Amino acid sequence: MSRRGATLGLVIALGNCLAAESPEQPLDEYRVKAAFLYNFAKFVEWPSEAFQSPNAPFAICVLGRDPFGRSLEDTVAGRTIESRYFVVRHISSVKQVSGCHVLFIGSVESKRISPMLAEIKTAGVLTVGDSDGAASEGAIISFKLEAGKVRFAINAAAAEREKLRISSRLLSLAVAVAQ
Amino acid sequence: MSFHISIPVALRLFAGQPICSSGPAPFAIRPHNMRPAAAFSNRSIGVRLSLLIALNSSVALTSAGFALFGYESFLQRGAAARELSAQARIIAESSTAALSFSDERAATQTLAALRGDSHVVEGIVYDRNGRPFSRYERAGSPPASPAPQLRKTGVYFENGAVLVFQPIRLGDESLGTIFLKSNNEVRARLTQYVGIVCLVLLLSQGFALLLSYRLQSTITAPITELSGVARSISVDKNYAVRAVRHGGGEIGILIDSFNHMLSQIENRELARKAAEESLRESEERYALAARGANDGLWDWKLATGEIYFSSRWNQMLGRPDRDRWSDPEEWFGLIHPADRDRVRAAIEAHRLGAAPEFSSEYRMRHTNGSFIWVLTRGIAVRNSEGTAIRMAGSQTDITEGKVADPLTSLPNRLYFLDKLECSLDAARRSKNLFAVLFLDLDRFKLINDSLGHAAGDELLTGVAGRLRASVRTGWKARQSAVARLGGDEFAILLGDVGDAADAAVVAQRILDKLDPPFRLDGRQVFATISIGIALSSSGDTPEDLLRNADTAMYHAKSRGKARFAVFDEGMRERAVARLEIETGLRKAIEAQQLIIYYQPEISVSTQQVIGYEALVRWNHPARGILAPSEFIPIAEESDLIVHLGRWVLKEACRQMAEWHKRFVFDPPLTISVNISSRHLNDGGLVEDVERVLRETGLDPKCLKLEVTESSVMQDPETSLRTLRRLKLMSIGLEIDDFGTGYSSLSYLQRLPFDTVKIDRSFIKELGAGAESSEIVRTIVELARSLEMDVVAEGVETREQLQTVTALGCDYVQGYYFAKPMGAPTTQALLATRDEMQRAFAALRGAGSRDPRGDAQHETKSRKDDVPVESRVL
Repeated sequence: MSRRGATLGLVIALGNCLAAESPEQPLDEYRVKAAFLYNFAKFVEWPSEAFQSPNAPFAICVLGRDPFGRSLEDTVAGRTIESRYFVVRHISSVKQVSGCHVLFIGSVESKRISPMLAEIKTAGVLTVGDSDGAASEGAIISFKLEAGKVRFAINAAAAEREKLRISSRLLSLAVAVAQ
Repeated sequence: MSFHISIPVALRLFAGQPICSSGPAPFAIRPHNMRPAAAFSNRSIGVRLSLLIALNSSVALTSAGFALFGYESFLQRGAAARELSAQARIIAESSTAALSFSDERAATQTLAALRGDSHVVEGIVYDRNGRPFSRYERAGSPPASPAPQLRKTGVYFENGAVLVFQPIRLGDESLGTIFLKSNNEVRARLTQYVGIVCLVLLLSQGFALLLSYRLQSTITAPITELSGVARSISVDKNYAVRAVRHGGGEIGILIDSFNHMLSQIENRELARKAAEESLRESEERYALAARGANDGLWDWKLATGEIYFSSRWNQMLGRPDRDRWSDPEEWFGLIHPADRDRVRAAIEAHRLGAAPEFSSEYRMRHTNGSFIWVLTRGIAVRNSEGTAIRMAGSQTDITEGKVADPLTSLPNRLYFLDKLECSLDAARRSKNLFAVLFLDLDRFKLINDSLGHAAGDELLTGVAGRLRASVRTGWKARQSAVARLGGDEFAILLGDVGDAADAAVVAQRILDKLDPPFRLDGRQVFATISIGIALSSSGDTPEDLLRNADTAMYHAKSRGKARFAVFDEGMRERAVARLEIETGLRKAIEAQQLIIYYQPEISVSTQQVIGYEALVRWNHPARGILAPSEFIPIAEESDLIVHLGRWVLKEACRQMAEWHKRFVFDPPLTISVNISSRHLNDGGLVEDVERVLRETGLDPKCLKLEVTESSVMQDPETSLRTLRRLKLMSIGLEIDDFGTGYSSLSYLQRLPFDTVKIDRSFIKELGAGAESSEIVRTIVELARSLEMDVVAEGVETREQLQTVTALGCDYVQGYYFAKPMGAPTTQALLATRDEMQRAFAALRGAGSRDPRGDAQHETKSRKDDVPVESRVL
């Protein structure tokens, strides 16, 4: 009885947590996007050379201005994928991209995304642009808002270039795939 | 006997004892409280067998059906569950991304793939919070209901549908739950399956029943047939029938056993019938014999103490017939008290094996109060240990043979004693007197001996008839009885007499009645009788009364016969005295209490004593000298008289021989010795005389033997032979008491007597009338013609002496001359005579003697001692 009560308590706590990420609340847009960043990691397979060691942490890097506040750190805190921890790094330049597995490029930086992407020499970085056209411009994934809901598009060619394998299930969710 | 069998059967039937259910007992079954098991067990074997087989097959088929159904259900559900779970897994896999990115549309599209599976009617994806995220419902399914509550992972079966709840995971992360629900196809399929199974089951059951019905008959048919045979046998009693055997196995064995049993029953039945037949015949024969013999039968079961009496047995005693067992004590209770112990002892002796059979004659009380005599015989049946378990036998009424005298048809002694006993009982109660008459024919032995036994019997019959007639007409016939006690003895009971005089009247009438002579064998015979009368007051027992009457009869007889006497106490005393004499006399000979007196016999012509008659006296230690009349008649009743006579003979001869040595007289003195009839007739007399003469040396010529007329007449032939032998020995023979007997005078000539002694009774009456003189004269004349001497006895007076002298008697004897004297006195007299004889001889030289002077001298010298002698002149 006490165990079931404990389980129930956990579910409720979890519910409260997710409720804070409700997409209906515009202020929570980045909270959803933070979760998406984390989820992308689960449906994408990185080449093994992307990690220095089997236990090397999974790095999510935020380029430039950080729109997430603390929510990105909160999202990944304590989570693992194939026993890899998540770390959140803030980088100011593409040159610092080494060691990053997911690179979030904010909307401000997205205006000159093509040159930036060209600068990235390291393979195996899942680039996520916070602007609607980012995928068309060379980023692998780009966020967009549709009827208040966060959606995303995937550039499969870009992903292939980066030697990332994207799960078909993720692909089936993408609104459009820019070539 | 039939009820012995029917009762137990009836008892068993009506006592409601459980009767074996296999038997035909219509009222033994009580359906109202019959239990199911009982109901079942009352069915026929065929039905029971069919039911059992049907029950077995239905249990087996139903079990199999359930098992099949269970297994099929398990298989169906398992298959359905596996199928649905696989679907769920696929959907779950496909839904991970949609869930991760909360993409409902994508989720719905994924679920829409379920359309391809017609079994799935509903699918719901729940998010990680348990809220329905996406839902699919098959078209045509019932209207959408609220999404079911999220459940724990697993497969559920509800209302025939399969529900699967499966988690949606991505890596380690739980994203939500997929719920799928199948349609009711499993249930439908199972229902169909159940229907088929049931159908198969029913068909199998029917087939099993059919089969069992066909099969059971193979088992029950022989049994039914067997029971039919048994029933027909029990109805027809035909034990020759046999059951037919079909095949082997237990039924075959049963039929064999049944037939074997029938054979045994048949054999036994045949044996029983044969035994029954022979038993019936034997019983019939025995019953016929018993009826013919007029015997009663009895059958005593010693073990149970029950006894059966036949109807004749009861009838004999005047008892009502009864068809049941009785108590043996009923029997013993009827036995005369005096006989009871004896009968019991006889039964016991046989029961214990001491006697080879039980046989007893005894009295039993008839219901009319009298006693009957019965002869009961019995034989015990013994078991293997020899213990008597049963005794049975016959009972014969022997009253008639027992109590009737076959010659005269009068009741016998036994009956008379019984009658006396009854009368004594009655007299004690009523204080009335009755009389017992004891009758004895006078001189019957003489008649019997002289005329023969047939004549004697005829006489007895005649006397019996007259006695009966005189009592019938002379006294209260109903209270009287005449009986023959035995021999020539009769007895009469006179009931209700006032005193002895009443009885005396009857006694006199009897004497009168016997006056007319009887005609026997063409001759007239006079019979007289002596009667003794005893009153019932004189004794306490029948034996007492009879003995008293006997004593009185004896008294009457001793007083001269043909008369009666009434018993009084004096008679009894005399009778006792007589008994004492008899016993004392036996000792007297050895104790030398007997002495001999000598009575002189005097010659009428010479007035001389020519000899002596030896007369015995008994010097009784208490009563002094007893005369012969006091003990000789008693001695004559037994062979005592022979001993006595032998002693007298020897002593008298010895004495005379001695006197012969001392004194010499011419002619020599003779000695006369009385010989009893027994001594004369029973032999040994001649030898005795020879021996005595040899021992004493007495001259046979000096011995005279006196026998009475009646002694000779008792057995004339023997007597004659004896007398002739004695005659050849030169012994003198005298006939004593002549004139009193029956023999005719002419008879005398055949007998070798020398001397006749005329009885004193004639001498005594000589003076009274001419008749006696005539008799004496006739005797004397006869004796003369036969060349016999005549002796007159009992001469007591001068007149008598003169008369007998005148009549021609040769010798006299009697008180007128001398009383009998003892040996010393006699010897003294003889010595005197001898002296005087010598003196005369001396006086006259060798001259002749003068006996008269002799006698005178004797008289003078011994006057005091021998007064009578003085008359001898």
